[in-house]
Amino acid sequence: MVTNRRARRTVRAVPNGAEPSDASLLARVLAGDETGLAAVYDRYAGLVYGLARRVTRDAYLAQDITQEVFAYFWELPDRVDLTKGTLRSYLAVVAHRRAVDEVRRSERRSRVETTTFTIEVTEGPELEVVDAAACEWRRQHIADVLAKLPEEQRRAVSLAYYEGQTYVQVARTLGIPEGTAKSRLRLALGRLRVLLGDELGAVT
Amino acid sequence: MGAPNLEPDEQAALLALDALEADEQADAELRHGAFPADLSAAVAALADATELPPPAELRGRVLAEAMRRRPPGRPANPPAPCSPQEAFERTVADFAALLADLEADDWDRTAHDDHGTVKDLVAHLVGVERLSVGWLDPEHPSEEGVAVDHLTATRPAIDELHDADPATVAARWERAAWAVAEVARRGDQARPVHFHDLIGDVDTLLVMRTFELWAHGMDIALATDRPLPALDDERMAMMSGRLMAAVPLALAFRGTPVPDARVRFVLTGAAGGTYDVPLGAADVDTPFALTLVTDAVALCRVAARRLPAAALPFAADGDGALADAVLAAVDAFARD
Repeated sequence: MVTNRRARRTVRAVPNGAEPSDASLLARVLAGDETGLAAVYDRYAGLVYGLARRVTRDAYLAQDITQEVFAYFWELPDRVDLTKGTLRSYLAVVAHRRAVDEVRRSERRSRVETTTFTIEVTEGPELEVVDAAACEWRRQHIADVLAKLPEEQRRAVSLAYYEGQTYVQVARTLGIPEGTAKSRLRLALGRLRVLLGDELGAVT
Repeated sequence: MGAPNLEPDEQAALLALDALEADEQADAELRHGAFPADLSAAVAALADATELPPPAELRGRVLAEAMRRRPPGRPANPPAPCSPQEAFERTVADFAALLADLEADDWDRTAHDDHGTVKDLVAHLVGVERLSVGWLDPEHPSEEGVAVDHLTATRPAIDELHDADPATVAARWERAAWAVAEVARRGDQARPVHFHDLIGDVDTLLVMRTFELWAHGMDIALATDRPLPALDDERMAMMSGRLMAAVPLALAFRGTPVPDARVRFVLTGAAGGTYDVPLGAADVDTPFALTLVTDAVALCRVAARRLPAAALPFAADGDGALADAVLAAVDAFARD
């Protein structure tokens, strides 16, 4: 071997206290390090819980969904591919799907029990008071971006994402044809993608 | 995201989606309340607006449920078990394939500071295999070579093969290596085996021999402009696991003073895992003094003295001086 073997015991110092990257945390979770999962939870529990609570409007369901999202992540961490998107986006997508599933289940139960079907229409994302400055910045940033959408697109997105409605339900809620609801949603999301630009990581 | 462990229904749904045109896919996803893949990142950003701290008590519940589903310390996709015997035999086969692939002029290239050319390096290995057979022979254990320097002990083989052609050297080595594998299978596997200045058992020697063949494979690859040999995940997981078990001994061998503390090694990569190593008089209740996160293969290269510890990327949380001491000691049992 042609190397300077005399230098082999020189160990570089690594500063402690630096925040681990998402890639590092994911690698730790893959290796079975439960403290890695705890760190991921501490970083993203607010995102997952807040989204689940907003979509389901139920604090207890939101806690169950949060538990399910992180347990699922721990169980199958190899489903995360950081070359295709961020861990933040991945967890948000999983949380949203779980929350929408819960809403659908609740709707089915509601139809069976009352044969009535009502959905509360809101004008935009719920503006919860979040103490962390970073959360506040992100919340305000998204609110600012949403404010740049035309009103009808913003309402369609709010219903579809924050209420978990299908485009058929969006059409019914807004009193517009299904095709119009669908095109509004796609236009709105496409516009959001442009407005958010480089901040986004693709998630499939 | 990649989805290697899909449920059957989920798999069927994805296959059905794949069969649709892009516009049809988007319609299908929106119809069911999901969002098209090409827009999902924009959609996920909307979650930022709803961030809300969860109840404090939820954290413990979530972590407990997660640990119930996959116990801590276990990698998400652990490689299949591999015994030291299997690892050694596979590595002998790999090394033989590497030698068979060499061109005539490759054998004269300088491969090692101490052993010289590729041919002399392989001749050194002939000597190591012969010594190993003697150390392992349960009926006729040899004291010859014990407590003798690794390089000096193989000098006779290097001199003997000095004028031999490369094919002869390669054949001698392969025959000697398979003789090691054969003699290792015989007798009590737990019997003490003395080699150089170390005492272990059969598995210990086979693991060290696997490390050495891997290391010299890297030497030859570097000398002949070939890609570095990559052992399969099964071997690397076995070797890194053995390395972790040997950390306290390595520190003691080097005479490094250690605290009564536990160190957590989080070895990343396909051959990785989480290892809690007690030092000194520490036990399972002793707090962790250090968590060290690094790549399993890279750490094994440090242990094989084929990567300077100074060049090892790692993250340490806790006692930084202990991290330096541990990394400086992991190559304690390497013998070039």
